Amino acid sequence: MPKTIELDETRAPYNLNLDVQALKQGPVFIEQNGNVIAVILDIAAYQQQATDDFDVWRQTQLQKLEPNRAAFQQLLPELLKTHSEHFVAIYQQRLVDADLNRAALIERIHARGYHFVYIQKVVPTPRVIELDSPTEVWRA
Amino acid sequence: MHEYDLQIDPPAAYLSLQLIHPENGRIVTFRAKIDTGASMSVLPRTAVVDLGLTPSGDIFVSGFDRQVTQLPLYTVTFQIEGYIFPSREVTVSPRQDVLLGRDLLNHFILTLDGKNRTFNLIDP
Repeated sequence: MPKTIELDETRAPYNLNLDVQALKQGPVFIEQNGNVIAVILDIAAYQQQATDDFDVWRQTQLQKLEPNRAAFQQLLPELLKTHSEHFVAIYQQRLVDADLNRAALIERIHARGYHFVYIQKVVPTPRVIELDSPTEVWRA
Repeated sequence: MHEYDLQIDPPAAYLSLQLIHPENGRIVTFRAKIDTGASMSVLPRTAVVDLGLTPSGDIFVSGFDRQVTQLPLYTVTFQIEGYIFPSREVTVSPRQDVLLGRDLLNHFILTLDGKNRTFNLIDP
């Protein structure tokens, strides 16, 4: 359950008496003169909120790749025969360029002024990369 | 010679680098963590937003817990220790700093001196 603490000191820095265990029950809102000026979250709640927010943003970013991404998937069986291991550029749902060198392909795409181009490597299964390091480690 | 960031527990190797929009040349500076465990370099979301990057592809990422997530890919130019790496493929994560992965680190000789908390990144 959220809790509110009223700041009654008249000058910074402020000192707060805060029960850390209370944070696990919900956010603590800091008010000054009736206005909420800050909120303190338990670190797990903050992490979860940040993760949820990122996940929404991630989905929005991926959505921008459609329908060129869908076009790539449809073209893939044929591309595996003609452009295996190449990076291909899909623009307005059509194959517009290809190259074994991604940077060279990007340079040509930029020179043509194309925007929202889907670029992917032609391989039989979707690429999976490893990011093995945990972002942060929290001590229990 | 760079020094580890001693504010991190345990201390870790960080350096500053520039990210450059490959089309309009906009430049932002970010802190980057040396991460030999990363096969691809990773940008924080704030870098993607600050530079105005648009996604150019997608990839699946397997983390340390073997969870697989689909992430967007972007194209950005890196400037690291005076060296330019044009139009590199990167992904994104909800972190505050850049992860410098093996895709870029393997262009250098990286020496990590944990005992003295220093590191070197050179291209002789």
